[in-house]
Amino acid sequence: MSRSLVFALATTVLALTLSAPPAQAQDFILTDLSDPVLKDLEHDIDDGVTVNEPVAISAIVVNGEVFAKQVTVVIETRDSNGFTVDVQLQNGTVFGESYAEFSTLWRPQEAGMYELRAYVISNTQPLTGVKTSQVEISN
Amino acid sequence: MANKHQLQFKRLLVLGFVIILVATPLTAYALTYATLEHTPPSFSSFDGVLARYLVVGQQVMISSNFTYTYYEHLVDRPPQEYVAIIEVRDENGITQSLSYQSSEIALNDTISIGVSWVPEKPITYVIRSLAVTNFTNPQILTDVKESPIDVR
Repeated sequence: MSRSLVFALATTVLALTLSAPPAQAQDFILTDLSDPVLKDLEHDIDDGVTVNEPVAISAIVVNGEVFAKQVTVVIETRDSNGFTVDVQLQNGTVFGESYAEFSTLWRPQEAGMYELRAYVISNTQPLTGVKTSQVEISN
Repeated sequence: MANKHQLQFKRLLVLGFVIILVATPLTAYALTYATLEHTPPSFSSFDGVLARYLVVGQQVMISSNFTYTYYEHLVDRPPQEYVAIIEVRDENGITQSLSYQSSEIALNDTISIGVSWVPEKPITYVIRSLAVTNFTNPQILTDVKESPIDVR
């Protein structure tokens, strides 16, 4: 076998290997999560929230795969010092090629800036990165 | 005498027709009836062990399963939009925690939902679960299932 033939074969194998993404990477891409937002029962809240006003923190999980997925959504709230003031886990089913919105009620105790954080795990493996948004609570 | 029997027979015949006319739509309704059914909320630790009572500060998962059931003759009903709600009330009936999930569910599918909760006082709480269509124009999809739980 000539050297050029061996080189061509090796190049082809390398190209095929690199072009096929691993299964785990596909799972990661096929589950998506929106940024967490503050909502009343129906709509996003754009004009601020006051202390002791109950609001919902919502995030939408999109399942791009064919089969249903059992997921856990972690919704966390951190104050301006980075301390966690509220955290909730929600289990749920997201059907294939569908979505589900996960919401939890939160009643802010103090005024200030807060960071809403959300991410999705399944069987202790992360399915998405951490999605964040900033909200301001006023007196 | 024969005329009297004939009259009774005619009356029975008419009554039979009336019964058939009334019963047929009811049967059809029963055959096309679909409903969202759910289990009463249950409590478990994060490793899945069911709890009969809780301890203050102990984080638990509250879970409930919702199934969109149907009768055999109904096969083409579209997916049902839902908002599945889990609520925690204290002994005064005041809501202490509220979580919900919304999406669509197809016939014969089951969703399993769970929310974490940390009880703060040693009292008896009532956990409630139910489902409505949406919050914009809500229609009740299930009855309310309640599970009391003692916190020590």
